Amino acid sequence: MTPAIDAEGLTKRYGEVAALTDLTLQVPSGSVFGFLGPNGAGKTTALKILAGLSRATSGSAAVGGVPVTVQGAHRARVGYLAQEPRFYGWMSGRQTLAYVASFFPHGTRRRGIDELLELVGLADAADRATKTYSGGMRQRLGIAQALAGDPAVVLLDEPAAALDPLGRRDVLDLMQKLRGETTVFYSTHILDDVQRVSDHVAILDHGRLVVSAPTATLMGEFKAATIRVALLGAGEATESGLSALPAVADVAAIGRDGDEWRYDVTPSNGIAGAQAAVMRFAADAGLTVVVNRQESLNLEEVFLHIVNKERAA
Amino acid sequence: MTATATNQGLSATNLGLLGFGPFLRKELSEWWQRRAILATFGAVTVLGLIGTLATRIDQWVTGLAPVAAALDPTTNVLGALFDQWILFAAIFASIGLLIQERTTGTLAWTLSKPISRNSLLLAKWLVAVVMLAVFGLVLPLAVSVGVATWAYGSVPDLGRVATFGGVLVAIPAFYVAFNLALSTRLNSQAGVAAIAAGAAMVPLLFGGFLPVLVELWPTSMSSVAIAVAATPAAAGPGFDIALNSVDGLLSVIEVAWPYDSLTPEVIPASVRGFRLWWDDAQPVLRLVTDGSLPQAGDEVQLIYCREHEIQDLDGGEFTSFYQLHESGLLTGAAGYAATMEHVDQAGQVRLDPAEARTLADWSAARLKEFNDWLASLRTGGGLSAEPYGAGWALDKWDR
Repeated sequence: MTPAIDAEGLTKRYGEVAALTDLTLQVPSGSVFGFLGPNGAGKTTALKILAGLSRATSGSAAVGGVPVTVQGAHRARVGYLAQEPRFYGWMSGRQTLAYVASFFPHGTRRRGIDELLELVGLADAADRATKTYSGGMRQRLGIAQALAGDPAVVLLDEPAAALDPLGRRDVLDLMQKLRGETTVFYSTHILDDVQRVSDHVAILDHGRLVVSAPTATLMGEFKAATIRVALLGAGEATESGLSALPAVADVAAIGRDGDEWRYDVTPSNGIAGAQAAVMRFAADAGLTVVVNRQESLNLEEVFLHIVNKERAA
Repeated sequence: MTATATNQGLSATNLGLLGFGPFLRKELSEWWQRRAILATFGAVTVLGLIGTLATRIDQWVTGLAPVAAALDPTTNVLGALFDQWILFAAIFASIGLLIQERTTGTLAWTLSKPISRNSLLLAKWLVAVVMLAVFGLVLPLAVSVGVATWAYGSVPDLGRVATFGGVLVAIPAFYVAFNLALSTRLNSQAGVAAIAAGAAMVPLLFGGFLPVLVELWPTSMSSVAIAVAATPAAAGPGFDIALNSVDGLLSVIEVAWPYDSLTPEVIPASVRGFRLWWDDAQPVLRLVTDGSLPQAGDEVQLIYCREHEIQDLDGGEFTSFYQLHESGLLTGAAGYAATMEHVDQAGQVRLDPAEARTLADWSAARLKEFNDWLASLRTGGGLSAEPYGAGWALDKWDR
């Protein structure tokens, strides 16, 4: 199956500064693909190249098999939302969507203009001039116009960055609705959002792709090297008892809730051995084991882990 | 960028004008929203009207009756400086066409849609030129034609006016393209305006030693437009007559051919238009006829202006002025000289008050005599004496 986006060695240089270096990436059709990276990582540059708004210094890309060029043939398949969307102030929201739809051969076949306005919560303001819209409304209109031509691929640059928590939730819900209907390729630095809606994720740092994988796979690969332990009936001496176990390298008490004490235990030689040693220790000391599991990392921790490791390298 | 797959169903031709229609419609709608187009229409119309009515305004200010040739409504419409007004309007209206869109971010937004950059530029150019042609030329010219009909008593030659307006469309066509091209490289409207204004000055600055610039520079369309309008397309071939035998020729007012000096009361109508031009500083009259061409031995009547000179007024031996006019000129010169003497003496020596009054009265009397004589020449004299009157155009191109 042809990938929705196929980038090969995309590089963009501004004089001596490399904004993007050798980006090779395949975005599966129908996926919601999160493009992660700290500020200045090159996300917007990559999206602009894919939208045909900026020429790559080298490399190539195709959207739905159509080469990306500044001439714009591939844009018949692309809906694009800029980081700070701007529209003609004299047009109303409805006119803006009609204007965008008129560029596409099939217009708004999948969703009509009214439906799009309803979808992004702008039905009541549809006939107002966009110059009267707030930043959040412009962002919503930006998402609607990106969908107006029934594009095969939607490129969204920080789609939820300018929205309040409710607006952000609506946008994430909308992106989930689009799963399978169209490919959503979006950039963000809000890791929580990516974990909630993305089925694929790529991490960019200093213009270089660090990792690209299905979200679940990536999360599975990065388990913590510690065991979270909670013991009922423990006391002040329990921490030193755990530390004395040969299978344990280090113990850190992280909190207490009544009689339940919690520890982060670092194994000295494997997770399973340490977990078994903790079980034996609890049985010998007459303590009840409430929790004894390997900790998983959230995406933020994975992201920081990867980025820090990359930078250290 | 390297292509990695073939375009699906989009030929190179389609790509070239991809998105042209939607963007053209947007541009048309946007121009209707702008006040600039109304300002263009208003300014060009008012300034054009002032130019069209210049002859009547001059008559009103000076109280002097214009010669018959100056009352031609077509000449007054063509000479109303529409080329200058449309030039300013074209620069004003097009300096921000692209830069404003780039600054506000709408250019990048539009270019994220399926539209080629050529389509975008072509649509912007086309709509701007059409709008400027309609609101900066057609409508103001129509108003001027109506007013000229009222002011000069007959309808201007609509064919010539239409030809004139049609040729002048070249000015907005050039300037909008020029400014759009500059705007693809510059981000400053002031910079674009400055360069555009500089382009308009090229014939003025360099035309002296490169005369072809004056004729061919796109912003020199005025002379071309008037020449074309003065020579309707239906007219026959042109014919050049060297006029280097006329010393000090300044301009030609009227041309009559075929002319018979034995029957001067018969006014021939074979000349459709004419233009005086200089070939290597030698005057050449280009006749455009109704199809026939002058033959050897034909007579051509010219009414023209040429330089006159007075050498050594005090006891001079030669003047090119008519002998008939010598006494009037001497009276005027004596009047001015006496006035100056009076002023000089009053400032340098103690003049006897009675003597001073006598000198002043005498000079005033001579000057009144001179001015009365000039007035009698203006009202009763021939055309050859007229172009030096106050406020008069030297000829139909000298505006």
